[in-house]
Amino acid sequence: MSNTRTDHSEWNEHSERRELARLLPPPPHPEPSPSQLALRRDILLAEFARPRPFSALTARWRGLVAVTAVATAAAITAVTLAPDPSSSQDPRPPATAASVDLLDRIAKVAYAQPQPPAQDSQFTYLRTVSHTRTMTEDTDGSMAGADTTSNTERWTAVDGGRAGLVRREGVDTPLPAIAPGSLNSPTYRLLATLPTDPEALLKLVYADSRLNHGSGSASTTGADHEAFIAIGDLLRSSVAPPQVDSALYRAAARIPGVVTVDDSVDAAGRHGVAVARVEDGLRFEWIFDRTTLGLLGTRTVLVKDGLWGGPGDEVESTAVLAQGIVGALGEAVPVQGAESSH
Amino acid sequence: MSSKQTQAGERQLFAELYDQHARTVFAHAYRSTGDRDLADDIVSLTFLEAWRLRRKLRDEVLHPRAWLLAIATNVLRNTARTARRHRDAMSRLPRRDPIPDFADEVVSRITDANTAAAAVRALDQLGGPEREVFTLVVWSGLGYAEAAQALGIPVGTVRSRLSRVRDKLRRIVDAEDPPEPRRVGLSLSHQPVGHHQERRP
Repeated sequence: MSNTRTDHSEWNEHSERRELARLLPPPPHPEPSPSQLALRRDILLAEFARPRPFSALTARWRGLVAVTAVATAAAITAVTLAPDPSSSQDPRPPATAASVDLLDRIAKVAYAQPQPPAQDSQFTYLRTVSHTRTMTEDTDGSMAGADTTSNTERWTAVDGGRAGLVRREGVDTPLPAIAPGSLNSPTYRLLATLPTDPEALLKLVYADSRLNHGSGSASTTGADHEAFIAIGDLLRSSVAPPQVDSALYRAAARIPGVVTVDDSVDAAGRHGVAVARVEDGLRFEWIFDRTTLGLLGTRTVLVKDGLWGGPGDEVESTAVLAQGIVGALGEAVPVQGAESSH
Repeated sequence: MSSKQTQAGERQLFAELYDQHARTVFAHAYRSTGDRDLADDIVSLTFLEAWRLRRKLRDEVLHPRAWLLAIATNVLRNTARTARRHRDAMSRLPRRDPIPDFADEVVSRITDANTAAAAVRALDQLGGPEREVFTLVVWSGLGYAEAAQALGIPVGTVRSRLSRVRDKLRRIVDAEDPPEPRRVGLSLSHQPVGHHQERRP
């Protein structure tokens, strides 16, 4: 690393890469959602498990891959060490004082929630409704928007060791077992092992988001925003122990660019106050009940004119209607008596 | 250790491999093709191939990310042939994203698709080998040495191909942006291009 010759050629490589990226920048790409990636991954894993002739591999494999992972981490660090002037992200100010204060109050409330007595034989249950606006191009080149609403119930084994179930608009689809789970496809058990120190937790989230969105990854999103999205996904699409939820909120307060929104509305029409982050013309909001400070849902809104509408137009929204731990697939948690916060 | 246990361990490692790198492979495939569904297929084929070649991962591979992008490059070259090899598995994969809710595909889809298509057209002006080196190094962030290893070529060749790409791109950019103040990147923009479009009355 201190070898000047190496530094020099690395610098050349770096500047040539920058020049090339300037000439033809990486085009943006759609982000597959964590849930979608997890589903495809699980199908592939099931595919690998299909009986077929294969030679047993030795335990050596595990050791070597662990070494490999370390080597990659080192390689990535080497890339990350250099400042990345080609990055399109402006440095953002730290989370606003108002958002830090709001998240602190939300975290306290979350921490005080009763600890669910989760057994491995049980399932986490999540009931959501979501609106998604999709744009399609007509034959004459104009754009037409359509909203789809989706009512979803999802059961995931507490330890991920058995198949889960998703019921969308009344149609049941089994979900593969996902034990032990991962940050992108979490189980309750996995979430329960996460650090409850916000700093450590944030580090973990960033480690994952930097890998795919940090400097040198050519991502146009950026690690900060990806960390915000990852935490938001965890909050709204999984059931976690109270102390972990609480730590996630405190971790979010450390992400640059986080702000508050005075009034937002979730997919069930419930109004509340929001914690948000703007990226690439879109504001991503987490909406909370003004009184109880419980999470209502999330929403994405345009902040400027675009093909699919103007400022304030909603792109997608979700409402978490019920969540908890249940004994069996198909068993539900009653919908919370909502509509109190208008 | 029984072979069943070993295989469970291998699958676990592949799950981690997938969690760490699937998005990178997807981004690479999408930027190379400009086609979302095709990019989904390329990701699946890449991991199916990686599983098939997992002995290599065990014995030779130092940088899994570079290795996966190398496999993706081969899949991009021979998509039809690879798809035939994994026809059964591919037929069992969902054709469309079965979980359309939860934020994903937020919107910018169409504009992004246009921008990506423009970029693919620009890429088309490069030769195949130049294009591969360019997308791996500049868009997917491999180091020169990693790219050389991934493509099985000397690092000097990576350098010379990239310098040819640079000359070509400079000519293209100059041709497209004559005297105007510098516009970056063949008029491609990371921003939604909505402001160029007329809103419907």
